[in-house]
Amino acid sequence: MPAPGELTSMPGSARMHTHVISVMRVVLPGLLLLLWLLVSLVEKALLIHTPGVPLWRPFLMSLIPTVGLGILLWWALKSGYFERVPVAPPRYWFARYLRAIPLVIVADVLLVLAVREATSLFLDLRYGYIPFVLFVVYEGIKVTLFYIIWLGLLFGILTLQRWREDAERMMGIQKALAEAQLSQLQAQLRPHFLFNALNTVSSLMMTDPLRADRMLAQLGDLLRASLSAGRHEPVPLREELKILSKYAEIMQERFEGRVVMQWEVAEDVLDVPVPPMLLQPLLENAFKHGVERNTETVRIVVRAGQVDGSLRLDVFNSGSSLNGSGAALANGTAGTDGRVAGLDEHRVGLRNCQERLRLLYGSAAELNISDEPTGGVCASVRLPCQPQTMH
Amino acid sequence: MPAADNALIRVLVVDDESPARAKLRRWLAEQPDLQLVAEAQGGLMAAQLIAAARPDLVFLDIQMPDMSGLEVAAQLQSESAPLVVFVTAHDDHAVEAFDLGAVDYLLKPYDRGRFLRALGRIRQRIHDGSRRAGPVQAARARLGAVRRLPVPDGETLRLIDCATIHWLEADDNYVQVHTPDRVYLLRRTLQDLLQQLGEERFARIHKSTAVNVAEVAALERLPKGDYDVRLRSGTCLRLSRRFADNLLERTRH
Repeated sequence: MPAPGELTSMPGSARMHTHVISVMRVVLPGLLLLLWLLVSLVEKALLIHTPGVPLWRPFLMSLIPTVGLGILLWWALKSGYFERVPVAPPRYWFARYLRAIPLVIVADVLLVLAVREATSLFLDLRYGYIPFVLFVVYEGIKVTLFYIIWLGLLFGILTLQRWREDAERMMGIQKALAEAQLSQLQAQLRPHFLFNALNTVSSLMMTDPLRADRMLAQLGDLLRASLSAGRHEPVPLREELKILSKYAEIMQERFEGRVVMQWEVAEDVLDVPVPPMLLQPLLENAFKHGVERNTETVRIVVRAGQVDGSLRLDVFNSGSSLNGSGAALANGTAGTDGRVAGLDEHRVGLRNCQERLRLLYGSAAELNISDEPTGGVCASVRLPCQPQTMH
Repeated sequence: MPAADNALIRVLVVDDESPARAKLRRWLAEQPDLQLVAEAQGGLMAAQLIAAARPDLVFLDIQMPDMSGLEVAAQLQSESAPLVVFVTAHDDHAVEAFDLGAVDYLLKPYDRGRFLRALGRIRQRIHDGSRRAGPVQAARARLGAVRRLPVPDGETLRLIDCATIHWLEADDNYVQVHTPDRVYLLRRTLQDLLQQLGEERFARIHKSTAVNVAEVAALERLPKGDYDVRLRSGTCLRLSRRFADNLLERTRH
């Protein structure tokens, strides 16, 4: 069976994160520059009536909060900080950052003072005297405005990003689901199965019309179920098992005397919702690799029960083995191409199932297939008993 | 060997699904000139019964455990093969091949009309004594070089991996198949067997011998410009000049 790592990578938080960074890498410096100019011009306008202030001073002074915020933002983005903070609901998001305003003011005032001192010491610059309180109020208003504008912009960018990522992710899920469903459908209506079943009906018709009739009804139910599997809603396990048993009955009719079906289903899991047509490919594999390749009688067991709070579903067949040789070739030796090709096909089916589970349940569900110590192969699915989200 | 017109046509039915066999059995019983001589539930059993019961006609299912119907057909000797009607549920590629090679087939599910039409064609073929190689060739073409081969093992057949064959030796109407542990005797011509095994794995080195190219260890030059082929197993075989160029070319890599 394929390692989980082999599965195609889907949009996940890691990719989202790097995506945001790469966008911000382009947007951020531009925005910083723009805001710096804006604030500088405002400050310049405010200082227009103050004589003796050189032209470059407001630009230098507003560079302080720009650079400070720029560094802070860059660090936050790089460390994925914004990824961890939910944007919705917006008022919480804003509240979270507006709380920091006093801190921002203090930091800004200290920085500006430091720069003032440094420049007047080393560059011999002179600053007109303003009362300290006025200075703090002035700087405070300036940096607060600056900060709020920044928050607004950031919020816009992040929301847009999230929105785009969500749309992309949804599209990915939808596409993968559609594909999975399609392959399920094709597996279900595998022409080979259908034609053989029809041939069995055609044979039974002559000898046992009632049985033929029953088989046609089952075939009809199966077709109906496979068509409704195109919908994504989960179905109770009870329903899934009902469909499964119809499939099993048709196959038993075909492989008369070559298969013994056993159902070991715990009562308390019958209402657990499961994705439709989840088990059918597994049972199909059991027939394909267990029964169809053996001339002796093969036992197939379908088990359902609760294990450690999750739903566990097993499909076991006594007629096959995963590692090449074994019961599959009654008289033959190893190394048969048919078998290897079959295994590959097997893997594709399994991978589809695994991918589907992963999309629906994330890491909360798994599908494993393994050789049993006493012979035979068991495919087992573990699902959460109460799925959180089903798309 | 076309059967005389008044002789019974001896039929073998091969299908792993018993309802499918029952259907054929039922319809065959309605035909006075046909006699069902045996039924097989799998490919190996079919190959065995074809060799033992020598039926004139085989209804051969394609998808079966152990050995597919195509594999069964591919291992038949083209000249002595029975007439074959392939029965299949779904194999577009095989059907294409059948159409090209004028091979008879029935697609499941089929009705009595189609079954009778197929029988009509078969009777025509028997009447004409037309060649029987069609199904064999079509199956070989469809399968390509086979990977496994049924060989007689006492009373039964067993499948061996073609890669384990070291070399082949023609012996009258038989071919000796040399494998690491033993030698099997097949009632085939070397030419026919080589065609089935495919060119890429086996090379003829003499009128009566062929080797598995992967098993060739060395070519040893003899005084008169002849060569001996030494196999990994140590066996030395004479390389005929007629086939020397071909083998030299292929072992160069």
